Amino acid sequence: MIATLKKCHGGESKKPATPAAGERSFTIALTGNPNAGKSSLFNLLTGLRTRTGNFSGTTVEYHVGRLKINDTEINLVDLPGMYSMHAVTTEERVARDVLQGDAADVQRPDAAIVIVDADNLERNLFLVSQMLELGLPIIVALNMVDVAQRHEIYVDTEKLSAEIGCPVMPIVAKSGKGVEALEGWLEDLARDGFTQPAPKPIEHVPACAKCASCKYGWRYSWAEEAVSRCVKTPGVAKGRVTERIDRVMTHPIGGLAALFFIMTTVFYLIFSVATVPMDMIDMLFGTLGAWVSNVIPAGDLRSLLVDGIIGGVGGVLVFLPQICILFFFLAVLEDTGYLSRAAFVLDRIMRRFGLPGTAFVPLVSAHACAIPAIMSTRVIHDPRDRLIAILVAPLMTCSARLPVYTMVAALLFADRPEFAALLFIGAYMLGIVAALTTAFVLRKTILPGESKPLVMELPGYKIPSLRTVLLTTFDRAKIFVQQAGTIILVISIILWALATYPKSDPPARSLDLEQQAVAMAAQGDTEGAEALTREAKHETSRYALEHSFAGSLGKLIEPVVAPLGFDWQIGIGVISSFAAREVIVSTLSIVYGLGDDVADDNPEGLYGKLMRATRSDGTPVFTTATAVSLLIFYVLAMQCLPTQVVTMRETGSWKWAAIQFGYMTVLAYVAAFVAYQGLHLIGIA
Amino acid sequence: MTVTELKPHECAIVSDVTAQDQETERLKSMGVCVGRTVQLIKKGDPLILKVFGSRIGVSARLADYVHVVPCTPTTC
Repeated sequence: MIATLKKCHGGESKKPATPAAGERSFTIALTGNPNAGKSSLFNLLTGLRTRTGNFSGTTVEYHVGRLKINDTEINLVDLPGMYSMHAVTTEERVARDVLQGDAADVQRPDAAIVIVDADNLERNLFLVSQMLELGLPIIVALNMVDVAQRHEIYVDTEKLSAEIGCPVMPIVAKSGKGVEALEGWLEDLARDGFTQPAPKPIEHVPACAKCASCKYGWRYSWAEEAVSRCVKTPGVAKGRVTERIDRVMTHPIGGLAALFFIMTTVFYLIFSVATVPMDMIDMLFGTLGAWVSNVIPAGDLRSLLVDGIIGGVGGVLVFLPQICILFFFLAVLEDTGYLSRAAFVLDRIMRRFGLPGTAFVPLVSAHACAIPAIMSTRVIHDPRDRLIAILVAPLMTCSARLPVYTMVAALLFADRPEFAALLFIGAYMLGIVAALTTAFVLRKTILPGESKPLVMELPGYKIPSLRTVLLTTFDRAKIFVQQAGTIILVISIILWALATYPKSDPPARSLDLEQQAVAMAAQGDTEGAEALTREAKHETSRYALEHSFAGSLGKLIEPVVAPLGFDWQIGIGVISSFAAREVIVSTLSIVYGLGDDVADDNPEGLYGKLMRATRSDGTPVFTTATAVSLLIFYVLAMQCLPTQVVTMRETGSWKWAAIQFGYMTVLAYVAAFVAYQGLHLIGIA
Repeated sequence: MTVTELKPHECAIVSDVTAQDQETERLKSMGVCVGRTVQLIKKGDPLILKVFGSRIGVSARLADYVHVVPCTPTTC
């Protein structure tokens, strides 16, 4: 087999390539320092022909892209960025394992492309020196030669190639300059069947006695010497622009102000620009539902498709535009190099709560949706720091809570917009304070210790590449949609079944109303007849929900939620909103006999009717105390199964999802209990 | 002296890194290791060090382990 022919020192290849009949297939690893431009090069070489996977047992992602050169198939594996083969972080460990052929998911590569930042050659050559020891054919892609030239760093690629003993190709990954040469090299390799000899490792020369204590010393000495031989640098200070920008961005006060300004702008855009595509998605699912209703006869199947699947999945997918915009801006901020500055200025503040500065971006993202937030905690290197960020992220006010806040604001302050605004601010603050306090408490209890000290490269600022940003956004959005397609679908079907079965016959009151309607229509009063028919329909759906499993569950938990001021109807609302929190609004609408159309078409009408809703003893349901209690419950409770699934996936076990659910539910219950009973004590009912 | 005691933009050669945990390993693999020249770009906590062409943000409590000998002259 060809793949085993190109063997070099370092033992047998553990997983030799197994080409399909008549085709040869090879694996090439793409590796390099973080911020060296790896993803840009990967995207350039592979475009959209990629798939994303997780290394087993970790949440570290890898991307595999397929290239076809003549009849040779090449799998290009984009490895996580690494500084050294003495791996410190999980990302580095995984990358090292792949390169050494120890990874379970990826076969040992047949060759490696090491991408090197020409603007920071010494540090990057350090990794190259380790790559030379792998015994693989290596090519060095010398990236950002344009930036280096602007800094008057001229690298003699031929000399460098002779120095390290493998081909060096100058490229500009952002614009694609020089990439054809790289592809030519791949083609040559493929033609020879990857039989090129591996380069020789550099000689280990301990530079001085002291350096022997540091296993890195001699490599850096070599790198410095190599660079001094093949780079013409007149000694101009590098990165002046970056330093000037950083004077503001990393300033303890100026940096915070800049951060506040940037995040406010991003969130303004998330909530303003997103409304257009959100309305379109809403309309699309509405149209789809209407179409299915026309095609399929009334019955369980139609109800399952329209109310369960289309309604359920649509209700979550409607947040896709917000999530895409969030990911888009995060990718822009990351690609410019700004994100690491945000973590830098916040590190000292966040550390007081037991969180690293890098947790900031995920926690801010959670204000749009906890799912992308939990996914983006991957920027936090330390597993324990990351776990804490995951556990507290869902306490932040996400978009799905907004309809609930709007409803409570309308119930409490229908004609006092200034108080309604304060209520919103209060709810947001409650979520933030609860998250930071919880992080602090977790640090004192089940996850003791301090957050890991900051060690983070602050890359030079650059203009982001639209291509990289869009591909990253697309990749994230794909993961979200896949989740919606599978797990959210299952949850929607279960919740639909709970609300639909067991079925009950229309109650006597509905039949009465319908008869009256018929009589009225006979007298010529069509308007009155329509109103009565509508009321009969609402009464039927109210009755059906009351007697469904969801209704029984609501009644079952009523004694538990009664101390919060909730009746069994709100109990049903709480249960039904596990797919997405905003569902409680339409559930309450049905369960108080208003029909589910009011929630969408005439929310003011809904709020008015909710305010007049009464308990069996005739007292109003939504007193001030109950409304406040409901609000607090929804700020703090883990009412979102999709988030739970993502927590499980990202932490690798149900345990942490269960702990997250448990602590948030207890927190929500206790806080709502205290609020309701407290308000009663001081006479505000 | 430690790297935290340098003046802004002062350069120094790392003489010792007196801790051996994951974070100091990371620091070393980024270039803050014995024999290398570092420049303090920004004082404070966290502070910014420049090693070769890259800037690294480092918590002060970690930078306290990095012992240095200032260069003469103090610029680089």
